[in-house]
Formats: sequence, structure tokens, C-alpha cells
Amino acid sequence: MGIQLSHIHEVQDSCQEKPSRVKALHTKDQWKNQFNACKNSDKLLVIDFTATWCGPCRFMEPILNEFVDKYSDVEFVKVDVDELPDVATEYGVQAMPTFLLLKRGNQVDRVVGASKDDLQEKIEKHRK
Amino acid sequence: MSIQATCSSFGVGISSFVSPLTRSRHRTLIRAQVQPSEKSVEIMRKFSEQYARKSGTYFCVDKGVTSVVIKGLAEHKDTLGAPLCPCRHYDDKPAEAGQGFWNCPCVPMRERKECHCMLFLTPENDFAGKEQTISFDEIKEATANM
Repeated sequence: MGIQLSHIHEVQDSCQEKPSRVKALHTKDQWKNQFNACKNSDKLLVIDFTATWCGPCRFMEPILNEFVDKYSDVEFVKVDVDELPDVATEYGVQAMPTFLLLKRGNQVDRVVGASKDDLQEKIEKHRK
Repeated sequence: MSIQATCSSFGVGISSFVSPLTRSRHRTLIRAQVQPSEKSVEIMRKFSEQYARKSGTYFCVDKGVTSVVIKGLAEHKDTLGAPLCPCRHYDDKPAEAGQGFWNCPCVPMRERKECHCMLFLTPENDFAGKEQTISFDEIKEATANM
């Protein structure tokens, strides 16, 4: 199922005006792999918790693309809360978008809502 | 599994004749790929225009944001029977829809004009536009590739 859903999302992403360059995690295995990689690295991981019909999430998409280009030392991924509800619940995600900042597998910060400045400030703070 | 994924790619096409009940049953399998019915989109579009006027709030300068939220409300109306906020994560969506706190207009909106979804923005909000209307075609166009 993961492969098929991934394919759908790739098609979906590629149809948008500016395709998302943020890696989407669709399955529990993809999530586990990403989390384990994060635990063994000093690299900051930013997780965008999103949903299909969340307007502010769509608003943040081009901003995240910009950040992917700007911060090559930071890893960006996105999780659809309807695809991985357990992960969203585990991190207490209630409103979308929620951006979770992890380092070595531990949460170091979070931003709730479509706030570019807030997110950028926290990325700058934790990426070193 | 392949049937479910295949079905989802036809979401747009079948939405006009699939009953809400049928869609609801499929939803747990297809999840976010379901398109709302045109009837519900139109209901939520009209509601949004009326409530913006009533509350003195405005749509986002980016009507794409407005369109996505209206479709999200319509999708929840189809699948849950109530326009549950599409910008929140719930452990139990049917229970939340029954409880009503996050059904649009949600309690924070009714009490403090706080719409986290950016559907209804107070004039001083940086992202507030000047419009309280949105056409069905605008919604369709803004969400054509979803």
C-alpha cells in the first residue's frame, strides 16, 4: 500500500504550481527509518504535520520549499496526520500545521500555525 | 489494497453519484484522497460567505487557502455529517463531530474570532484580504490539482 500511496502523492505533488520538495513520509516504516536516522545524527529534523484540506498548510508549502533550499544542513519531512495518526498523537499534534523540531530524536522546539518568522527563528536557533 | 488506491484516483469522477454513506465507509481506506460532493462544497461556500459578513471577517488574500478549507469542511460534512474543522488532528473524528466544539464555526471563532484555519480573518490580520465572497468556480480552480 505504501508504494501505491506514495505514487498518488507524487502525482499530486507534481500537479501543484510549485512541487513540494519536502520529503513526505507515508508509512510507519518510513517514519521509523527517518526517526532512527535522526537519533544517530546531529542534523536538525523539522517535521511538518499536515493534512490534505488544511488551508494554512498549503500556505506554508512554498515557504518550506524555500527553507529546503536555504538550509541544506537541516532535514525537512512532512507527515499527513490522516496517514500516520499514531505519530501525530504521540507528539500531541492538535492543530495543523504543527512543525516539530527534533535533534538526536528529542523534541527541541515546536511551532504551531502558519508562522514563517517563528519557524525560521527556531530553525536558526537549533540548526547549529 | 490496489483496489483502494485505484478507487482514490477516481475520487473526483465518482463523487457526484456516490452516496455519503458509501463514501464514509471507504474513507477509512482511502483517507485524504476523497473529494467532497459539489452539493456540500456549495453549502459550505454559502455558509462561509454569510458567516464572514455576519462576523465582520474577511477571506485570506490567497483564496487558495479559503478554497482548501471550504472543501475540507465539505468533506467532513459528507463523511461525518458535520463541518468539523479540517485543520486539526482528532483521535476520534465522529466523536468530535458529535461533541461539536470544533464544528465550524468553532467555539474559539464564535467567542473570540479566532480561526486557526485562516478561513475567517479579522481585518487587522496580515493575511486578511478585502473580500467576503468566493465563487464556486474560484474554489474549483484553486483546488483543481488536488
